[in-house]
Amino acid sequence: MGDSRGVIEFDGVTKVYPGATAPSVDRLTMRIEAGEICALVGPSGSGKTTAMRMVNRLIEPTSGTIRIDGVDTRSIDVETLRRSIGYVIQQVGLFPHRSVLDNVGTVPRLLGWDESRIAARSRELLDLVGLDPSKFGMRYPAQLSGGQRQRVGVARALAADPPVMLMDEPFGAIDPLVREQIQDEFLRMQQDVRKTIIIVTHDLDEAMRMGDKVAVLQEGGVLAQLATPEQLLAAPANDFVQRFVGGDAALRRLALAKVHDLPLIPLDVAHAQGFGVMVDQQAQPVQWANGTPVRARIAIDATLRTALGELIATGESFAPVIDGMGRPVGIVTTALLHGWLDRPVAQSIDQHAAAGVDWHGPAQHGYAPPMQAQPMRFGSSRG
Amino acid sequence: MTFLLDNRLEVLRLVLEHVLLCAVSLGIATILAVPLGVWMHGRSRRIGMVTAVTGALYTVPSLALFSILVPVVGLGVVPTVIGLVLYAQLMLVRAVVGGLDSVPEDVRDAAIGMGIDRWTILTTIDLPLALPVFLAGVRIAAVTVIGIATIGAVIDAGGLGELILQGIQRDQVERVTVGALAVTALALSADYALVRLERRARPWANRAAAAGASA
Repeated sequence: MGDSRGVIEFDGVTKVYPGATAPSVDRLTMRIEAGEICALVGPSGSGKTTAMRMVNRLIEPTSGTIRIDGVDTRSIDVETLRRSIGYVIQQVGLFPHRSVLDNVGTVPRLLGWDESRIAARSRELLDLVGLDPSKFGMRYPAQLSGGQRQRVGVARALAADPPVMLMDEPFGAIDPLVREQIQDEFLRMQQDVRKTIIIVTHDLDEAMRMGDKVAVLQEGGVLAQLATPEQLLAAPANDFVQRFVGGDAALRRLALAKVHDLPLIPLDVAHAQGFGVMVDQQAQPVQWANGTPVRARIAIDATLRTALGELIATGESFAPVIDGMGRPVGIVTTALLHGWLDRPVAQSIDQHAAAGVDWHGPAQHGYAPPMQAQPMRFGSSRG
Repeated sequence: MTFLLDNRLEVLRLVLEHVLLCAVSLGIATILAVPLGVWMHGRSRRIGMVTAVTGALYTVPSLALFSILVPVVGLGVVPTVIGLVLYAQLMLVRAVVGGLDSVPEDVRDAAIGMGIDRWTILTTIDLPLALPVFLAGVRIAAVTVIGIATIGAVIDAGGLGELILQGIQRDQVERVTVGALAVTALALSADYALVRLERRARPWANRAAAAGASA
């Protein structure tokens, strides 16, 4: 595990189904780096599933080439190719007549591993996806919940340690309450296994959550934009993407970043500007230098969206940011949040590096406070 | 009942003959139906064709069918078995296709996507999963064949039909009754045995149901 195999390249890939007049996927060219999650997202009819299924040749492209680590997939025996690619689908497709352990061991068995190695590997993977092998190993799929089945599906796809995984709406059939939890678990697991993953989803939130990059496909299978989630929201490439990401793009963007990503106003700077934070004996912020109480405290690892919500709810335009112990580490202001949204973001991955250095937070330039030296709250006339 | 006691060896022989006749016919019919069903599965034109032919055969009255076969293959067991195989075919072929249809599409998609070859999918996934539905079809076929096999006695195939036929010819009501009851008992036993087999063919569903019931 942890190797850097698994670069997937689409090179002018087109699929026209027999009898269809228009292509389902139209000259798709993109590159997915090793260890990266790429979310394929788009409305139905945008060819996202077709694009994914061409990677393991469940569908053969009409023209164009798909390469994995530089090798044309057509030059590889189709079953050998598929055994080297993990495959997870929405309905999971576990074999109902086989135990959970047998299901997980499917591909290793095809590859001719000896039984003791298959058993050990299957147990290891059940552990990895959070299912106790001694409790669940001998059950049949019908004896599992939907979420448990999906975990077994992921374990089965990972069994032979393939560098590449394809996932078609993998969490779509799971109860929304459990879905986020399973997504988080999956992302944590991905930190360890570092697979190159294509996830097909129609759910933009899921794409944003899971994808290192997001490929938005529009009707006719045309790639509208390939970008990081942030780039997609900040700089939609066209009207289609704009409409697809919706009107609350700013809020979604704020949800993608954490408070510690901001150039917070250092406490000493705030003090010098006259809005220092006074702390109590437990080092918790209690009031401002001018005597008004601290109404909002924002955790350093909160999302910017949470921070904004907190500020609006308390009617404040700035608030102390606190660490895990509740101690203040800086000041966040609505102006900083606005500055985050306002910084230039490139439209695509290629310009990402260049755009990244374009933005200098106010901190690097010497901070000018966004408001009067005396702190004021909204509606302070009554205070 | 004295009739049964006096002739128990003869009745037993006829029961065994009847069982053998039906078992051989069902066995041959299954051997034909499985590959035929696999060949038809998912191909609507093939299904239409085979259903039309087997359906037409099924409408031919059994006595007529047996009589047509006699000039070709002679009297006795052979035309009877051929006839029973043909009758069973309609039900068994449909049962194979129905069984394969009952295999969830996502299971097959996952199997193909993981790189399992077609033959292995057929033998280790499709057919085992099709078995319960197929066995339900075998049940119907078995009951039908056990009934129709009675007619075989007319063309000298033996079996319990002989008892009924003799009873009618000699005007012995007891003989007819015993023959009819034996055929019925045979059909019911076959049905019961196949229900048990059907349940055993899907242990995964039984355990899930048990788990669901206890939860």
